[in-house]
Amino acid sequence: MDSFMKTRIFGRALGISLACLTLLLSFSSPAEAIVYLDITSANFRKVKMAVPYFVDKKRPDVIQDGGRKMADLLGRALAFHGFVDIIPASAYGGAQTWDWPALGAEYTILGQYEMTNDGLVLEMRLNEMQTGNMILGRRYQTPISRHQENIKKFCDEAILQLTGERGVSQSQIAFVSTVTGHKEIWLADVLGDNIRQVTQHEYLAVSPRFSPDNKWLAYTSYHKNNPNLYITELSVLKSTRAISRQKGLNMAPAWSPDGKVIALTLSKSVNPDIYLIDINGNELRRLTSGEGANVSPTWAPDGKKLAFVSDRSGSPQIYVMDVASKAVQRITYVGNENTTPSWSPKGDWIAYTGRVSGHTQILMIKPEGGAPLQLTQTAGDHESPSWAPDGRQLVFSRKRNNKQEICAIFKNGMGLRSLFSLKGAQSSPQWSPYQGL
Amino acid sequence: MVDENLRRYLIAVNSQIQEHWVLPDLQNWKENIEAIVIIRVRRDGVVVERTFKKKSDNVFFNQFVEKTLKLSSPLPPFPVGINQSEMEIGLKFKPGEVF
Repeated sequence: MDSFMKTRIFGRALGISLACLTLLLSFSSPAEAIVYLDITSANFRKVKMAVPYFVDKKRPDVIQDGGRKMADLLGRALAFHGFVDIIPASAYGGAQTWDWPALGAEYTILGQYEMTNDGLVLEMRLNEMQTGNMILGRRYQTPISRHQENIKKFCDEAILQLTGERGVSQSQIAFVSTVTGHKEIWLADVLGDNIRQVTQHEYLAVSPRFSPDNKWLAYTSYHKNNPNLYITELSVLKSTRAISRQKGLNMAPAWSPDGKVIALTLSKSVNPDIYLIDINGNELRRLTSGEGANVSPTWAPDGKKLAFVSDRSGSPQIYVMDVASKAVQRITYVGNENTTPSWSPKGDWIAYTGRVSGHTQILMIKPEGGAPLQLTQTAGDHESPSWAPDGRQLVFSRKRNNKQEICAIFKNGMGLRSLFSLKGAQSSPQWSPYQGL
Repeated sequence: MVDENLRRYLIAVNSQIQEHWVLPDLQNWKENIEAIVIIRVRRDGVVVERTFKKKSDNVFFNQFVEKTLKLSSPLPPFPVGINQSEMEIGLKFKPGEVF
């Protein structure tokens, strides 16, 4: 049983005992008063949803392969968020009309499409069984080549309707891969499709970082015999611009939340220290000065603080700095190797890599410090966490059995899975901001 | 002085409703979210009326409260020793511990 399960079960037991206490206390009220019972500690479970095969409007009686694939993509996109349980089409033959309550379906998404001279007209409706209401309906006119984007877009809107927070199925993962024999930057859609190479320096490229507006990808490449900082435009993936070419390290960039400033490590003064530069590479401020090696900055979402790694105490630990005053506070005290911090989009957690019993695991800690929570428990080395834009899950790399791959896990420690399969070793993943807003 | 029969009955009611209190793992339910429902229970356990005294500002949360009450009905009948024909009970629904 992992520590998160223990936390939940402990929480549940606590809730029940508190409920009983309240119940007992309630009897001290006058007999004529209404007794209030506390109903707490809900059981949490997945939402059951049916996504039947999409129907060709011109031939609704025939199930087409395209209709199956559209439903499959939408089902995978919904399930990726961790709280939707898709009822397999085999349970009802993929038909759009069924006794859904008998199957336990709480929601259905019914999709239909029509080929036109301009491409495809795609319609999807999210229906709630309890009320019988349609809670989301969309119609997209799309080129056939882009219909998958619209299905993911609908998924993310449906998640928004259900949870108040937009879904992440349109987002991407940038990562470092050795698939070509060199460490290059690659991109993949978060559902594991559309995997493509970004850099082609045939040397060594590391530390990909998305700009907050999702237009640029910054990274460090050694191909000019010095680890320089570059940015490339994501829409074309061709034009690359050198941003910082200081002698020594130009490493691990972190875009500020407003996208105007980049924090990075420079070693031009020999010691690796954190500086702020603008997006043209002009130096704005030096934040650390020679107290050990200072690397891996990550911004708080309000842009007022930075977390980073420093070995000033003798081992690599996570520190938080108030950017205005440069006041620094150490937040990790458990373990002698804590690195690669990633500040959550809601600001409430900092995830990081920590060495536990000889292996690296993903942990989280509050920005003000305290007891860390261990997210990953499996064998192998888990490194470089990066938060999904909704803050519900994280991506990281896992190395075991001579294989290094990109995995994701939910914030509650559940649902660890590999995102895609690729030759070579994959590392340093970064989850993009929301896509298509 | 606590009425032992009433105490036992309310524990049974609490337990039955709690058994059906299930929320979808849809969102990080805010821990301070709360809906209060007043139910009127007949002595055979049938809930003859339920009214939201306070709805939460989350429509889905309110729907799952209603669903829980439907699934929990009928409640246990009044035990011997409770003589009234009906009883009003207030129910405060909260998500409880959410990580």
